[in-house]
Amino acid sequence: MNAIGRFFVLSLAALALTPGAVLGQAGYVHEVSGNVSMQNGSGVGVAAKAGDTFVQGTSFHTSSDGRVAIKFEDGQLAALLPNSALRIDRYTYDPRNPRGSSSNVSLVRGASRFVTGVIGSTNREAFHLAAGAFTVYLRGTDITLLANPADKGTQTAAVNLGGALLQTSGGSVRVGTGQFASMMTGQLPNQAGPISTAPAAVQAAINSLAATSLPINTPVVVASSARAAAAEAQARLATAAAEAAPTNVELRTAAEAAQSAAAAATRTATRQAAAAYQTAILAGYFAPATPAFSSPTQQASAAALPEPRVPYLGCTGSPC
Amino acid sequence: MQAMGRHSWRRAASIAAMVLLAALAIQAARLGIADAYERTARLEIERWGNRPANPQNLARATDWVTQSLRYAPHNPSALEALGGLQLRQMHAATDPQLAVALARSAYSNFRLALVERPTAALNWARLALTKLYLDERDEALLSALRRSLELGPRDLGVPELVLHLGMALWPRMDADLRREVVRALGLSALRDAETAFAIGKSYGRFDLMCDINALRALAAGACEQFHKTE
Repeated sequence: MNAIGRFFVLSLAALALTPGAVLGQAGYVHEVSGNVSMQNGSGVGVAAKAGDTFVQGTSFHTSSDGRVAIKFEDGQLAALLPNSALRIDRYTYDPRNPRGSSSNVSLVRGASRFVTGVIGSTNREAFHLAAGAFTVYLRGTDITLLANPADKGTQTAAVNLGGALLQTSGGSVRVGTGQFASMMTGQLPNQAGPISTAPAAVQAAINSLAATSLPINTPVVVASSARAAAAEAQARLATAAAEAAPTNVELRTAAEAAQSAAAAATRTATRQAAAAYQTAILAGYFAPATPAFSSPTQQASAAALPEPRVPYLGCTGSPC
Repeated sequence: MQAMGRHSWRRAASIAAMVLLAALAIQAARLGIADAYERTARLEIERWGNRPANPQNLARATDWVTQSLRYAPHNPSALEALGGLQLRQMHAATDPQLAVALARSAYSNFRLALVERPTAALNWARLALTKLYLDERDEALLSALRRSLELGPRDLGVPELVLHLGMALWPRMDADLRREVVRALGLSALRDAETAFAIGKSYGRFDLMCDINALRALAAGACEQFHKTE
């Protein structure tokens, strides 16, 4: 291959690593369980699977058994509980231009946890979340939103880490770490209070989302991270099949092959993500704060027993 | 004939006394077993303190209290303990429907306990708190809060729960109840200023705290800020 040929091949390889935003990809599906569909604009919904990429204008719908975790190119994360719907209204990310990046996401119904990436940590004014009549201006990292249009249009926001300003047509309320606030359509938001006094259903949704395993919230190269997520999902399936039939040598071999393919894809994705993060930091983005419950110990214990963030109430003194 | 009649009367009386004694012995045994189960559960609960309990330990303690209630179904302290355990389970639940069902069950257990022991101020406060968990911010909640304040505003645990309830329901409360909540804040601050401050801070109610001597030092910076914005 001559010099021109090599240059051509290298250019194609570089194009494959081009930021997702340039190619129109906003992010990828990190993990899925149960039935989850994704729909672009008014198009037909398709079943979402780990490693699928999405663009702005995409909506995610989870069924009664569906859960999904998605990651955006700037590192922003969203996790949805069953019977929820989320719409990515607008998303533009330029790793070299913090001021030119923005994110508008709406929770249509159900419960979702959001963790900000570098857009949220750098360009707060350009990072908007909406749930029913709420607009949420995040002043931190990690928030859980609940929208229940069927129940008098009740919306709730709980801040796991950082702070948020909830704005409605009637007024606004500040919510800090460990606090929540609710409102019904057409009314002023309630004053913020500790999550330990939130309604039982709200506490359960927060616990459930806290137990969701989320990846780190730093920027990624969408294509390679999506490939790694797909390979990891494939490896999990192959491993489960091999464990179900321990005497089957073919399944074991396939599982080992899938695991090594996943490990290779993850290594590539991690290397490229580190480069993308460095690019973003050099361009002037701020590093996002680590979300709540993110240390391995916290994640492990959260999966086994989600811990409320404030002491138990109703158990002071005898007999508790 | 007369002697025989007296003899049979004595026999009947002694049989009746034996039956009565046996019944009392059975009842005493039942109460003893109920008490043993309840004490075991209580020791387990005390071991946890305010830390979240392991689900297995929680289930075991719940089982002990349930067993206790099988032998003494109206024992108010076992009913209160069961309600408290159900609230702990509710705090750790990840299924919203299960969490609501646990809160509902805790509510009925606190209610039953109050039928047996209507002067338990802490239990009235817990009943009000459970209404809050059920998202039923109604008159029944406010009247449970009032009862708690009437019966034992200084009882262990009551001022803290009253503070949480009072601050969460502040916009719905009348002037009398608000005054009582502010009094509970002062009382709580004298006993444990840091806890009282933490509760007030968790609702952002510096407006209430800055007028209380015991809290002013803790809330100094926030009070300055508050007075400036005021």
